[in-house]
Amino acid sequence: MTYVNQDDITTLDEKKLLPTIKMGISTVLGTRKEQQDTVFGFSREPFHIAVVCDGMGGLNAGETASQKAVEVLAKDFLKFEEDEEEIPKFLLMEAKKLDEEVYDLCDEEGERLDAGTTVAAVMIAGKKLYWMSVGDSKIFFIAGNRIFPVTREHNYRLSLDIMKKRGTISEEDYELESKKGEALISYIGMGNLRLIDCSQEAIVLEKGDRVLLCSDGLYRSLTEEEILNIVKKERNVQEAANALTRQVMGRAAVKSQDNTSVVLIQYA
Amino acid sequence: MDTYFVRCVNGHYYEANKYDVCPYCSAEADYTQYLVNSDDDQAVTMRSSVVFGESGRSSQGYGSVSPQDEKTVRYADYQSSSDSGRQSQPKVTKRMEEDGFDNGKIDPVNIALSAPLDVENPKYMMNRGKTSDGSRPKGTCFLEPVGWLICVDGPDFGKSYPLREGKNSIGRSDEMDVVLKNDPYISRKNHAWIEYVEEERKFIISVGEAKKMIYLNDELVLMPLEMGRNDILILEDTSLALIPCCDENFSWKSARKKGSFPAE
Repeated sequence: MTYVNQDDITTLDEKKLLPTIKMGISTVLGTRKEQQDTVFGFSREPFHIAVVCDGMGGLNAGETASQKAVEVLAKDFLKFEEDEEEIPKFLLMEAKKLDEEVYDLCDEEGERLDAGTTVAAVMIAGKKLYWMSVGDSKIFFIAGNRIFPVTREHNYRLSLDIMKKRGTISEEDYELESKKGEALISYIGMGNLRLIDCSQEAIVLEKGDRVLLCSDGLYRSLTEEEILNIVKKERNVQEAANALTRQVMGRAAVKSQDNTSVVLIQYA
Repeated sequence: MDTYFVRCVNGHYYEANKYDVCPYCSAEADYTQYLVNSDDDQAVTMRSSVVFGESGRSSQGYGSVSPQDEKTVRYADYQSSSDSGRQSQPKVTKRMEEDGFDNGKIDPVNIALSAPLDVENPKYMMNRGKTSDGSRPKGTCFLEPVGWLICVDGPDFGKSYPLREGKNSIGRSDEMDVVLKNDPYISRKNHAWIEYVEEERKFIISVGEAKKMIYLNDELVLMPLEMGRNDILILEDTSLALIPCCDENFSWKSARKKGSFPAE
């Protein structure tokens, strides 16, 4: 084999690859008959959005509520044209708007559905990340080989823990009341939504960072360490998302399992 | 094993898992700033989330619904069943009434709103404490201070500000190295600079970008001036005295080499 025209051999174009946002989405039924979670992830440069809504309430109301919430948020996201500094305000106002829209949902007879849903949303502009959460869906920040929960659960246990810390209730009462601990105290569709958690400062992403949004089906089945280990093993973000739900379903064989949904975002 | 640092309202950093209040001045912690000293070099700063208030719609009562085991229930479902026999709410003590509970009923949302951050778990909410030029993490509990500015007059009286080697910016904004939050006449950014020059073992004061008058003792600072021990830098209503740590007798570099103090 001879080489001719040595000058024609191309050298590697050392284009520095800038990190970009990639998302992986996975959602499973668990042992439930219906899927009441709704997930959404979308990129419209320079903005990106990811949402997990976990519908609650009986019949089909949960599904309707979570779908409605995602629909409204997605529509407004697609219309968002402002500066990245306006994102916290946008997310806060969206939370209130979603609450009203879901509250207003009615059936064919005009009766209120009385449905509700959680919402955990992340909105990214370039490499700045903002988040918002109502209810008990969670957002985790995974960086430097560690996992950090970013949100807190808006359930009765939150209030009980605060009361216990202040000494406002006795140990005994705390134990008794803990049985109701997972009941939500704030959710989209309750009307007069007051408790909304929302970031004011951006989290600045760095290459390799990952952000995980999930419904409670995931974190009630896997520990944070388990989640971290599963996610660390997969370089591909969609594979990682699938691995998480696969692990949850693996365990569902022996116990009841709620709908589980994840959106895994990667900045790399 | 990670160590968690929190900054007290007076600016001291202390280990949150060891102390309930600041061991230096007994002040409460400023829970908007949590730090984790991790094994990798990046110091991670945490900031609190903000919890908001009303949305304006009047609340509606809920019909009695018996919460089913597997479904996500809302707290209100437990409240409504007034005909279900014994109310299993905790007994409302006088303390709770003082906390403002209405008619003996607990409003869990009010409780959650009153304590925006679960301070027991410092893992919540995080941000990277890097400046816009990515140079040094702001608010980091840094090691090897070259000296301190102490506030001897002005709204921040009593506070101390550690200084790093090189240029330290002084201003009102949180991005500054020396943050003078409470003096409204001080510029947000770079009101003045104080630089520690290792080779000379000297501190140099220079004017900042806002072109405001700054004084060193009685002298108007027009060009960079040397600042010595106990000299007073006056910016608007605030007076800062310099307490050097490094001088002709001590430097961190030598201390590290010799492994003892004083180093030279």
